[in-house]
Amino acid sequence: MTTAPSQHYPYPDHPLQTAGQRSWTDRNTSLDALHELEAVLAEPAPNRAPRWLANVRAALDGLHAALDAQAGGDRETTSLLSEIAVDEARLVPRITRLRRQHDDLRESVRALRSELAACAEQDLVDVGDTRDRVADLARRLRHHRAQEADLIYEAVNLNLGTGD
Amino acid sequence: MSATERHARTTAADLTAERQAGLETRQADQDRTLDAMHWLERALSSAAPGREPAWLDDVVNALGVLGTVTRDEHHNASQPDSLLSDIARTQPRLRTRVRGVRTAYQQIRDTIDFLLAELAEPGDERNIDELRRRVGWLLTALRHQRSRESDLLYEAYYEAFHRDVDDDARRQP
Repeated sequence: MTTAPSQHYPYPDHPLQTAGQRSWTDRNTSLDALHELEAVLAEPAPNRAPRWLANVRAALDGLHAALDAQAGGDRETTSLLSEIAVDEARLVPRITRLRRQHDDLRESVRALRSELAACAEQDLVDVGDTRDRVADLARRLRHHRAQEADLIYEAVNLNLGTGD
Repeated sequence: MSATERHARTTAADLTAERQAGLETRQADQDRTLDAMHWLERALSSAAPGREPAWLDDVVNALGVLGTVTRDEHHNASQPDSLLSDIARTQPRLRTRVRGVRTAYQQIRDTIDFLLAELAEPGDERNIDELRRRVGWLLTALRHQRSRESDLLYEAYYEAFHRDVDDDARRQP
């Protein structure tokens, strides 16, 4: 069984090759960061809560950086969503909503980071609550990714979910 | 001397080859399940509108693989020489949690089978958004279950051997 992400962008000949590849790469980077966060979250916590929390915070920092980079790339005029917005005015409201969702996700990650930093300072670790909150965040992020993949496929016939 | 104290006094030398094998089996099972989860996740978040049949085929295939690997994992964890069986046998205070882990795992397995049966039926047009949510919740439940089992194994192992089960599992044979 091979489930590793493809290392090669699956649409090298598409007219929006550069924008598509950037979006594909950014999506892969944020998915890798989410998987890393989920991996450390699933590590055992009893008897080692401070170490567990430190790992979760580091992974959360990685996800935050990945989502920021993705948002930065998306805001460029040559990004895939920006190109689609120019060519397909009917899709602008959905693109605006996707960008708002992405900002909300970044804000949620930022808020969780701040809270976990306070928990670490006070030596108060609620493992169950932290796992629940990250699970909720991950669910929202996956839903957002699916909606984005749907829109991109509908607009330019690129299935960025294939290789990511 | 209580059972806990006896376990606490057990030395690293008591980490038998059988237990080491149990750790390796569990790690291999967990890796396979995680791969299958990631595959299913990718299938779910692929573009669906305009390519529904291909999307659904991918989701069903990935769900089928997850069903197979979780069945194998459940089978291995139910063996008398598995880590969970070892904990239930040697640490009575953790037996209820072992039973809870197994029950929850069986519920997840049942949900996978139910979803596969439902998706195998010819029927109306699928509600993609709803299916994404339902399978998404299943994956969330499976992640929660893995964390719960991980905590239990670590706690039991640490109590018995004063060793880190994850470090031992990663150790090269």
